[in-house]
Amino acid sequence: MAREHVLDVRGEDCPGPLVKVVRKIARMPVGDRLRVLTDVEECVRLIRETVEAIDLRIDVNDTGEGYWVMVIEKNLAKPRLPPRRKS
Amino acid sequence: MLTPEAIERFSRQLIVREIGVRGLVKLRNSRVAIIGCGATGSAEAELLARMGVGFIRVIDKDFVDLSNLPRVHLMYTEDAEKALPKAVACAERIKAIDPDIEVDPVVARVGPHNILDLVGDVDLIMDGTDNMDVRYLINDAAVKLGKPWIFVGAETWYGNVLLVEPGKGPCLRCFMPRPAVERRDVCDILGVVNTAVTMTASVAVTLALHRLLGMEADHDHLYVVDALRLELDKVRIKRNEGCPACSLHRYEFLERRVEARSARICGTNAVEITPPQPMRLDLPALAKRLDSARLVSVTEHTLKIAISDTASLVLFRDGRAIVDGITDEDEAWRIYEDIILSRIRGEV
Repeated sequence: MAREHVLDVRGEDCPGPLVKVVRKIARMPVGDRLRVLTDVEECVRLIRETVEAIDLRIDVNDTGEGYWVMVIEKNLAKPRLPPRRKS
Repeated sequence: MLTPEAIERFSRQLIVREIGVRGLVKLRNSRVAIIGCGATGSAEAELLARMGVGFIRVIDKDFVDLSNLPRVHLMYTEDAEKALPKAVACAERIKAIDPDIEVDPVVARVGPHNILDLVGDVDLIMDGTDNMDVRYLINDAAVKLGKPWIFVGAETWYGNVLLVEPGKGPCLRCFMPRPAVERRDVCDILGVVNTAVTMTASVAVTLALHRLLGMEADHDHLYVVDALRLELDKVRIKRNEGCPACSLHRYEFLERRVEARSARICGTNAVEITPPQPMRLDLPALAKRLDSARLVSVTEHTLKIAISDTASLVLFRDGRAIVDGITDEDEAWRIYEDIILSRIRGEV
């Protein structure tokens, strides 16, 4: 049964929250979701760019209350980027 | 593959807007060859490795000597004691910094016979040599292949850096059409300050970073590092319509023949011996047939023999040798013939 995990990193500046998000995603079973709360806009950009680059789905919602909620769905066994180009 | 561990490792550069995770992917997919892994090349290698470049080929013909240690990066006293090839020492340390980097150490003299193979599969060539002839050879190869390369030179308190983008900007021969004889062996005459080398290498690797990230990389200016006054300046260089390499496509350094020879090495009291043909020697086996009293050390990469109290010979697997403590090229060749060639003749 898929679970939803919550990571509240409000009050923290990146890259700390980015590292926490990536570690959490790596340990989560496939199918689970991660809800991330941050109040730093730069963290939203960085986490979204990173999560998209490892081919996972992310939805970002501005609550209008000074923080954002991001929901990341782990739909791959291993978050990964495209394989290295061969010469 | 970019792992969560890689994202954590590079988290401090991921937050730089111009790099980000997309930049890290570009760096991980980048292939760089560094020609020469002494003071300049080892500084470049360490910076490129730590910033996450995915493939690094380090090419050097020499072994680590105690007198290198004040200037080089990635090399230690134990490497000098074992006469470890610089390329092997650099490769081992790069892997220790980041095991995910693919490193290709090449212990060889770079010449017209091998340079196209050594740089044909990389995105960028970095100059780590102290030899103008090799720089002209790199320039010929890079222009012929249409590959970018970064000219890097440092002596005393000063350094020069130029990103050469064949077809877009000037090449080395646009502003230095041919080697000036009196500029050879400058390291022997002038020496070099390690901070000037590292500053110059940092400028070069910054240009490499711009290029590999796909940012606008300046290929129109020669950067001039002045470590004495602590200044960085740049001089506009224009393409030369009569340039033998990038305008006329005459690659005379690529067309030179490699011959067996002995040659004094810049900045040392040593002579390098190039054998009549490339060899593939089993050095531990050869060591057993030599006078054991003379044997100083042997590894799979090098064999070191004492010639006298003040002179020694280091032999590489490809048959090259460096005779240290002797400056006469003919005498060095005779020693090589007597000790090495006479024992391996007919076996290689």
